[in-house]
Amino acid sequence: MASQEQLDQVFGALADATRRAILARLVQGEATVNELVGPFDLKQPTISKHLKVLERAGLVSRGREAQFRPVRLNAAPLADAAKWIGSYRRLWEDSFDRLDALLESSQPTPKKGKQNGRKS
Amino acid sequence: MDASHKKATNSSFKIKRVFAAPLNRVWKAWSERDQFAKWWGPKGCSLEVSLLEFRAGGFFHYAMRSENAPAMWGRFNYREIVPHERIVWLNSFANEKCGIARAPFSDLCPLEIENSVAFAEQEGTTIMTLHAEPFGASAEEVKYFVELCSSGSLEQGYGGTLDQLADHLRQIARGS
Repeated sequence: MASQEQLDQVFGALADATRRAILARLVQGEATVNELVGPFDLKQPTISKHLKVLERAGLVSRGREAQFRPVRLNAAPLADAAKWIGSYRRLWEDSFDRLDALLESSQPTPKKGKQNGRKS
Repeated sequence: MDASHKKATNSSFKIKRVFAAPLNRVWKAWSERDQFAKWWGPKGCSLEVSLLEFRAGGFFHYAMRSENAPAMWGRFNYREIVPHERIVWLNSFANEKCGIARAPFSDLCPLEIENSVAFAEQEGTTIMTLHAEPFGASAEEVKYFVELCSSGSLEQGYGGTLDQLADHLRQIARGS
């Protein structure tokens, strides 16, 4: 499945504005290279080059029919990239919750009208 | 030119929290071994500290233990400590000897993450801002990391629905 190398490729592929725009277009459904050339004001070889980068990162796949070769979005690698960021955030939020509790317990800050120092 | 300093200030993954305690007290929670072990770490793990050298160049080396699973080791390598102001360190998984290691459960984690936390006191409370980003990643990777992190939809444990992805992509396509 997703390796470090693939994750690097995903990061690299998504660092380019044109490639992100291509993906945004593909969210609405598959498209041929020609259909992708239209809105971008770029030459077809340029689009093809971007598609190759996206393909290598596993973010898009292309159909078999040589004539049309519709390009499809493949969201899984993006989800992988997002996953560890989510878990890293969770680590810190959980830790900060505990720090909060620790600070409250070790330092009785007088708060009027609050019997129990626990936060909701 | 201090590249690491610059990098840490314009990143990326960011969490800001206000703690109801004076800065001096919060600083102790980071700098003193017994305190730090009490709050830092992944949920559901007990943290065993094998080393805490709270100084630039020093290491925090720890084991994360949970039931029915082998211990996982990790380390902080402190790079910069400015008392009551900021701490910069590299976090990574480790072996028992405090050598750097890949995440034992996944290749997805970057080998090292550069973290930087800044402290500021305000009327008896402490504002803490944490930044993080993959260390040693290329400029492009960092740029993408920044965008991925600043998108709320992806942070909420991106469930893989195309709708969320669509929103996110539209957003970043528009913003660039």
